[in-house]
Amino acid sequence: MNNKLAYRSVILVLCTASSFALAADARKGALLFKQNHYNEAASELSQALPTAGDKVSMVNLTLGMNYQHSARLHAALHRQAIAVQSEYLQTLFKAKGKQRSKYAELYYGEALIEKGEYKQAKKHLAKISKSKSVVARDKSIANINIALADYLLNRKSSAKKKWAAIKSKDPIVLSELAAAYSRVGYKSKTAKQLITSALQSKPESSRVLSNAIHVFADLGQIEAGLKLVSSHSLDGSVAEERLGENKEIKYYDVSVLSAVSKLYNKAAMTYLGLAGEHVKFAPVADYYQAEASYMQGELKKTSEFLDRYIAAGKPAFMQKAKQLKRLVAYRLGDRQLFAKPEPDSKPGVVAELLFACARVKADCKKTAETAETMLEKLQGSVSRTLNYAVGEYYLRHEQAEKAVYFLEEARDKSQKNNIKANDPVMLVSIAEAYAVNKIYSESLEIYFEMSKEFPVVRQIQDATQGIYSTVQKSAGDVKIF
Amino acid sequence: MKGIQKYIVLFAMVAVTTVGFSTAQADSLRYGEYGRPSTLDPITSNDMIALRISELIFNGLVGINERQVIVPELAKKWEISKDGRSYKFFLRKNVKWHPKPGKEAQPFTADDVVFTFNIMMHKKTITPLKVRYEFIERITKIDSHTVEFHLKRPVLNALAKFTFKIIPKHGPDNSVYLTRDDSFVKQPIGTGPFRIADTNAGQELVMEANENYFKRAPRIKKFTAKPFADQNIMNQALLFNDIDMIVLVNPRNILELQGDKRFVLQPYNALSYSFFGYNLRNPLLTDSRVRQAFTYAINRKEMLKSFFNGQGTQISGPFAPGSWAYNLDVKPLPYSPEKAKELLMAAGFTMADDGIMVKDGKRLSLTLNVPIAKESEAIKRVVLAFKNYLKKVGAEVNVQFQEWQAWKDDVFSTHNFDIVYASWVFDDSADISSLFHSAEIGQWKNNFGAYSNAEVDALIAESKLTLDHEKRRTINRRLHSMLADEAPYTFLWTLTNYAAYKKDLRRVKIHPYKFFSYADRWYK
Repeated sequence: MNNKLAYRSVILVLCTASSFALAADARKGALLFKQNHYNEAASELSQALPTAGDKVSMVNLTLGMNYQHSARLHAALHRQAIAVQSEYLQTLFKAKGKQRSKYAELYYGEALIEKGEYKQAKKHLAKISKSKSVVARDKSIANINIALADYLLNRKSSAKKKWAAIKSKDPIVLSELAAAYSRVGYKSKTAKQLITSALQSKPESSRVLSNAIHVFADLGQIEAGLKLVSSHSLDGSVAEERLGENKEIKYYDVSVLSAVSKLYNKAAMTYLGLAGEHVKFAPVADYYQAEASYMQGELKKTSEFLDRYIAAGKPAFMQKAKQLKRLVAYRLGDRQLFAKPEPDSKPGVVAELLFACARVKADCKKTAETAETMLEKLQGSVSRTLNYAVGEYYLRHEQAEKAVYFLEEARDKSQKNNIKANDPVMLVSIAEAYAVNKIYSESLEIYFEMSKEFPVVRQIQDATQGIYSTVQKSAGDVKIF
Repeated sequence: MKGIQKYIVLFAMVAVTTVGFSTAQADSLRYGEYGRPSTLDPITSNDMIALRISELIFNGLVGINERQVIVPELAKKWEISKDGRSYKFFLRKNVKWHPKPGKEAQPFTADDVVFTFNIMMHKKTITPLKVRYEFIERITKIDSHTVEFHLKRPVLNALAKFTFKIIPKHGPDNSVYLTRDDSFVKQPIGTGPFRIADTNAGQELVMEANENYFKRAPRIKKFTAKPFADQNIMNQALLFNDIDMIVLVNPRNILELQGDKRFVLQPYNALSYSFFGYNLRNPLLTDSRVRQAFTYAINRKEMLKSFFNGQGTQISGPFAPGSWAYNLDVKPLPYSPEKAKELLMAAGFTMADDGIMVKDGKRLSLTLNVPIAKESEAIKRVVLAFKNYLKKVGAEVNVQFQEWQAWKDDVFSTHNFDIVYASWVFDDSADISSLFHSAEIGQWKNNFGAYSNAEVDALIAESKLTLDHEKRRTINRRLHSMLADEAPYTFLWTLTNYAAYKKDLRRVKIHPYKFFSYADRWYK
């Protein structure tokens, strides 16, 4: 969902007039947020908090908004990582020959859990668990995840038995157990102890880090989680498999992206909650908390925040708030809400409606057609937003070729992959649309640039390269230019 | 005052349109190119301009569609043996060659395929293609419309390699081997959707629709390649309706075109990069520390930002960042003139009084050859900046701009250069073997800098032999790392690729490498 236009007015306040009283790092933080440099913005704004004085609510609000946008980006990256990692890992474990990967199925099983396909995940993880050629650590990790899948399939007692059977002292295995516990809200105290000990023994292990972020986010230890995230690039692989002298495969933990997204979303709730104590900032904080609550699946809370925002009568996010209300109603079973736009709807309203349709994959064909007709006459930033909305709608409705056309129209081509000029969530959608169309080089180019600010995209880059190398068909030609 | 300005601009536009430019026609397409290639055939040519033209004139046995699926072209079907060593192609029977001037069109047969392969692989044929097809042992004609290729060994993506363009047996003057002197390379005939109509219309190359094209006659009836030495004039030509398309928009013009509703800006990710390449035959450049020093000496990030509006990505090695082969662990060397001087000193140079380094009595003075086709404002600034950066660390650079063909002769034939500025464009296979394998040192071969490293040779050979995609990836990552370290080039950047065309041109799909692969379906 494109928030850029709507939050521009809020940012403007932070960056200009009333911000003269703010410390330099707060102003810098606000500017970095405006430029979509969320990690750097968070760092600057956090530093500004202790000395913000009477502007503390404003800094809290910006920080909360920044974390919410970052959560939204990491959720988009998580979705894309699941898609490309699943495809890539399948090519690995389906390969034949002596140098076939032994471990790809473990990571595929983990990716399936992230995808919500628990039964399928168990099948693949069971193969790892039974394999004679897999080391004990990976067998234990497979078993922990089989139990996690069981728990999520509501076979709780079976899951608990399986977890109880884990006797490993390996800190990496124990961190996995801690994350599994915390994700389902089981044995929270134990989870905390296990992860603290694992972090002491293996502070640089990518798997331990990922698990620790999960645990901190689930247990509400937000500051500890944020400290961890800000001090690590999170681009490392969790394992490497060497198959002969010149074959090396890197494996990643897809769930690190959902962990980071969850953590940022909770951080957003914390800071927005503090900002909301100030009457001036309460409406914006309410709207953003509604977004954060919706992302966490808390529909009742979402409605409460939205009702408060709408009652306050502030126009900045009104359309977005109304669409979010529609989404909540849709998820609660009202399927009539997305039929078509009201006559004479403005482009911005149609765009928000389409973004909402895309989020829940609702059939809004007529709205998309209306938008396309509108676009023939539109220019400027409204046109870009509507193009983005139409592109996003088609992407979520499996019409990737059409999606590319509209998303490209929305992109600022003079700064093609620059996150300053283009909403990074939109860039992720463009990358996804190109990947679905098998134009992997465009997708890789986007992530190459994005990796400079968000190194965690490395796993998407690696998997996309792997798919591309297998799929590409060309003669081996090169020309001078 | 504003009103007067408006009239002046209007007058200028009318003047330019009537005097300098003509108006495009409804069923014709005129596109702007960066020069005029000296050869137009698919065997001897080695530049992008000729590649784009040969895509309009010729066909391969097979093609690759937008979804990376191999599709029939001159072969209507094929059979692959179980061991992957035999490829039998059944050819179309309804295909005719473009007619030679004043003569009847000849039918396409198996003889043409056999002829093409044999002439391409002949030792005296000047072509960079041989290295790509060394895996083929021989070709056999089964009957008039069936051929069989026998491979020395199975290779990855073998079918895709049969996209090479077929030329007619009755085409070249010399039927044994092909050189750049053969009249065929200047006015070739093919089986493709367009045939060359006029090569003498000034600098333009005019092609007409092949009404007997075996797929179906193209809807564009006249296709004209118009060369421009200056990128700004090319852009003006598009804005004032003289041409319909620019194949590669100058990064500085993107903003202007983006804001103009008359045009479509379409990205296509050609896997390309620019570089300064070093001639290792020059003793001053044989030590890799010297080449590394040059890389440290220049501020690539700043150059990219200042000269190309930041429309590109700095790179660290021999692959484009959009490629599957790029090693993400290898980061570009930072700008550090101090480190550059340190490396030059370590390589045995000392600073002379005139500020230029000296070793064994020889001044570190080098010539940089730049083709005139590259003489855009941005490129001029790049080479000037390079010269200035190197001067600061004690290296003297003399820039020499050359006409495109003279540049190619010096670089590829006589190897008369110290440093070159150029760009490579790759297809999806990211095959760098012809650039860095020692067997590719020689006249009209791509390893013009004579780079030779036994370990690199061995890795390239292994990557060609393997049937394992992941192994090939690992090898390429290693090659990237080694070549970044050895620095036969200073790897610079990949620039953003956009084509621009008028909105009335429809159904435009662009092949990221060959560009015009689907142009037979375009229409206005």
